[in-house]
Amino acid sequence: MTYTLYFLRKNPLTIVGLMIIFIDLILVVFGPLLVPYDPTKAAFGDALRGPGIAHFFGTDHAGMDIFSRVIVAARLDLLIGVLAATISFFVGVPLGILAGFYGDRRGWTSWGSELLMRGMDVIQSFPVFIFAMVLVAMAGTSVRNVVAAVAFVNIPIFVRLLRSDALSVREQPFIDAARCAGNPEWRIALRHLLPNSIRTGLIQGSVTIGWAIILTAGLSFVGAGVPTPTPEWGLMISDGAQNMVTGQWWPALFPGLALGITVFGFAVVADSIQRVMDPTAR
Amino acid sequence: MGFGKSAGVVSKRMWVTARSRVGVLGHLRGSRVVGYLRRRALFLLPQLIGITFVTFVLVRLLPGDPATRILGSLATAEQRAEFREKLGMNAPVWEQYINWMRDLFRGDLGISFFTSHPVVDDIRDRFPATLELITISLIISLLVMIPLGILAGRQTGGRLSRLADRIVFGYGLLAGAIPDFWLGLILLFVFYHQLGLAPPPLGRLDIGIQPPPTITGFYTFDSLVTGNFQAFSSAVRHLALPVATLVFVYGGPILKMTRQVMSSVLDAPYIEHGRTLGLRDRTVILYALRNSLPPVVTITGVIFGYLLGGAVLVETVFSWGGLGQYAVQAVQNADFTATQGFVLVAAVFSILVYLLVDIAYLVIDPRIGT
Amino acid sequence: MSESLLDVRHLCVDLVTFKGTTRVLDDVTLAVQRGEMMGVVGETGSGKSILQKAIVARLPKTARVSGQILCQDRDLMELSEDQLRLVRGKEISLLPAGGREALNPLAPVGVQIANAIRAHNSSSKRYAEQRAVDLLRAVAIPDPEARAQAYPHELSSGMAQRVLIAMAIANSPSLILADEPTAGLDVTVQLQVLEIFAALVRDYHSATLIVTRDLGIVAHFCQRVAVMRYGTIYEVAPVREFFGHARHPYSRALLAAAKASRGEEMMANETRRLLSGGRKADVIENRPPARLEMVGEGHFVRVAE
Repeated sequence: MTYTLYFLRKNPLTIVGLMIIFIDLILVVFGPLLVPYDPTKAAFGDALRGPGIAHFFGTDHAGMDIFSRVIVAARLDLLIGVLAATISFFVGVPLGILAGFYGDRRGWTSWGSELLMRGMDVIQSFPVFIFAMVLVAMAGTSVRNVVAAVAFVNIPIFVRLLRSDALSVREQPFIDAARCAGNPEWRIALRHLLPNSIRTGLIQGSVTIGWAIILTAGLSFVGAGVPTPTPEWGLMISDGAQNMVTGQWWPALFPGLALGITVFGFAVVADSIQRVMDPTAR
Repeated sequence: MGFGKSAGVVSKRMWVTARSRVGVLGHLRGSRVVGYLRRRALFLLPQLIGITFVTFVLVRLLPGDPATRILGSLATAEQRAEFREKLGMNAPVWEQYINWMRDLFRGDLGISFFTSHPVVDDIRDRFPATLELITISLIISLLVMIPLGILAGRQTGGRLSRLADRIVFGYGLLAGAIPDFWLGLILLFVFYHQLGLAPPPLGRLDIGIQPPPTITGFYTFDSLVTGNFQAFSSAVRHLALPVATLVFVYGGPILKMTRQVMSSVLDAPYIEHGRTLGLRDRTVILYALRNSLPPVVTITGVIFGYLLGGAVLVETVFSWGGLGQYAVQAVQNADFTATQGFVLVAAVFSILVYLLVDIAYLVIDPRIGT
Repeated sequence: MSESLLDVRHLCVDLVTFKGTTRVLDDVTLAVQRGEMMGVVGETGSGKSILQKAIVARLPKTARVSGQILCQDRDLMELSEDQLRLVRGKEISLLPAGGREALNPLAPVGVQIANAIRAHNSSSKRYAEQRAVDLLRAVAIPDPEARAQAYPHELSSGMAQRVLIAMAIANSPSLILADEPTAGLDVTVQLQVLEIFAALVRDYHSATLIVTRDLGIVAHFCQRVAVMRYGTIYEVAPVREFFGHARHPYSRALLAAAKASRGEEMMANETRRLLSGGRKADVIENRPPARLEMVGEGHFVRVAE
C-alpha cells in the first residue's frame, strides 16, 4: 500500500487519469441531470452559434446544444466501451487460458487449441476497423450490434495474451505438484492458472476499454456505428466535419476533446496499474 | 605483451577465408530461411481459405435485400427476382461459395453495384493512393520516432533526458487516445482554414493539375521521375496533413516500443559487462541498437498492417480517393461485391506484411530457427 | 612505493531505495599484492560482488560511496568516467558471475573479444580478431577458429565462461576480479579455469581477487583469504593459517560447514596438502584493516562488539 502511495506521489499523471475516469463516471450516472438543454431537441433558429454564456460549447447545425450532447454522449460511449471490453474479457480470457493449458500436447484437446489459434489468426488478418465496420454495416446500425462487433474484434487479443501467459505458467513445478496431489486438469486450470493470469487480463481489459470507445466513435463517424441522431461523440464529430472546414470549429472539437481525454484517462490508469504491480520496477 | 602468444601458430589464411565465407550474416546458412518459408507456406493455405470463408460469411450476413437496395423500393417483384437470379443469389449458399471461389481463382472479384466497374479494376485504381499514403506515413514515423525512442530510452539521468522521457511517455499515451479522424479535422481547421497553408481536403492533387503518367501510381514518385515538379509539389502539399495525422496517431506505438526496448536492452547483463570491460561507448551503443531491432521491426510491421485499416477514416476526411474511401462508400451503399473484394484484399495484404515481418525477424536474430 | 597492487581503504557503500538507505559495504579495508591470488568468501548477500563492482566503479546510480580505492598509487574514486573507462578492462578486469548472459547474444564471440581488444588498443579489426582466436586457444577452447564464429547460445556454459575469461585477459590486466568463476562448471573445467588464473598470476606477476563460495578453490589456489559477512570483513588471513587456525567464530562455522558437506577425509586431505608446503604467502600485511585486530603474522580478526 505504501508503495502505491509512493508511486502516486512520483507519478502525478496517474492521479490525473484517475480523476478523468472519476469525472466520466459522474457523467455516466448523473449526466442527464446535469445538462442545461435537452440534447435531442432541435432548434434550427439557433443553429451554429459559437461558444458563449448561453451555450458553453455552442450549437450544432440543428441548433442542439453541444455541451449537453457531449455530456449525454459520455454515457453511451462509456457504456458501449465498458460493455464491449467486458464481453471480450469474459470470452477471451477463459479461451486463452484453456488454449494455453491444453495447447502443444497430445490428444484431442490440443488439436482444439490449435484450431482455436488458427481461427484467431484468421480473424486478426482482417484490419480491426474494417472488420468491425463491415460487421455493423451488414447486421445493421444499432447499439447492440456495435457492442457485439467491438467485443468480437477484441477477443483475439485476450486469447493470445492469456494463452502465452498460461503456456509459461503451466511449466512451473507447482502445477505438477497439484497434479500429483490428484487434482483433475480442469481444476488445476481454474484454481492455479486463473489467479496468476487474471492480472494480465485486467490490465489488457482497461486498455481495451479505451480502444473500444475510440472504435465506436470511428464506426459512428463513417455511419457504421450507432444510428443518428443518438448523441454519441463519433457521430457528433461526423456532423461537425463539414462545419470544420468552413470555420465553425466547435461542433466537432468538443466531442473529440471529450473522447480523447476519456481514452487518455483510461490509458494512463491502465499503464499505471501495470507499473505499480510490476515488482521489478521498485 | 599478451597472453596466448605462446599458445601456438594461428593459421592466418584459414581464419580469413573462414570469415569471408560466412560473413556477418553467417547464421543465415541457406536452408534456414527456405525451411522456414516452407513451413510457413503450409499454414498459409488454410489461412487464406479461412479468410475467404470468413469474408463470404461476413458479407452474406446481409439482413437487407440487396435487390431492393440497388433497384430502389419501386422495383417490382419480377425485377427483383431477375436481379437475384442474375447474381446467382438463388442458389444454395454453399454453391454460391464454390462459385465465388472459382471466380476468385480466375481473379474475378465481381462487378461493383455502385461504380459498375469490375471490383478488381476499382481496387487496382485506388490501391496506389492508399499505399502511397500509408507508406510515406510509415517512413516518416520511423524517421521521427526511432531516434526519439532511442534518446528517451538511454535514460542518462540528466534533466534533459528525464524531461524527454516524460514527454515521450505522455505522448505515447496521448497518441492512442486521440481519434485520427478528429485530429485530421483539427489540422484542417488550423492549417487550411485559419492559416491558409494547406490545400482543401479534396484529394491528392490541386484541381486542374493532371496526375503524372502512371509508373507506380505514387504521385510523388511518378512526378519526380518524369520531372513534373508542379505535380510533385502539389502532391506533397496534399499529402502533408493526412500524413501528419497518421504519423501522430500511429507513430505513438513505435515510439513507445523503441523506448521500452532500448531501455530494457540497456539494462541487460551484456551491456553492463561491456561497460565493465571498458568498451568504447560506440561499441556498446551498437550492441544495444542491434539487440533492440527485433521488437521494433515487429511493431513496424504491425503498425503497417494497422495503417491500412486506419487510413480508412483519414481518407474519408481528406477525400483521398483511395481504398479506404472506397470501402466506406461500398459499405454505405450496401455494395456487397465491392465490400467483399475490399475486405479480402485488405486481409491478404495484412498476411503478407506479417509474413515479411517474420522473415525479417529470422534474418535479424540468429537464435530463431535453430 | 607500496607493494600493494590494490589498496581498498574504509570503503562504504550505501544503496538508496524508496524504503530507505541500506549499507551494503561497511568500512571495508583490503589489500591485494602482486603475484597473489586472494579469495573472498561469504554467503550470498555478504557484499562480495558489490565490492568488486565498487572497485571498477560500476555501482548502480543509487549508490553512495565513500572511502578510497588505491590502485598503483592512484585513487580510483577520484577519476573521471572517461579515465575509469581506460582502467576497466585494461588494468583491472572484472569477470562477471552471469555466465552466458554477459555475452551479447547477437554477435559472434570472436567479434566480441576483438571489440574488447580494440577498446584499449588501436588495432585493426582483422588483427584483433586474430588475437581473439589466440586467446580462445589460450583458454583451451578446441578448434578456436570455428568457435570464434559461434554465437553465445551455440556454446556450452563452460565454453561461454572461457570466452568471458578470454575477454577479461585480452588486454593483460594487472588485476583480475573474478566473481564466482567456477559456478555451474564441470569439475574438470573448474580446474582448467583456475589453472589459467594461476598461470597468469605466476607468469605476469599480476593478481587475482576471486569471489567464491567454494572453500576448496581457496584451499587449492589462493594465498590469502578474506571472509565477508553483512558487508564487512570478518577475517583476513593467509590460507594455511586460515584453514588451520581460523579465529573468528563465523570463519570457524564456515569451515565446519565445509567440512561437514565435503567429508572429513576430503577436508583433511586438503589441509594436509596445504601444510605440506604449498604456496607461500609473499608479503605480510603491515597495516591492520579497520576494526580488525592482529592475532598472528598477516592474520587479522574482527573484534567482537
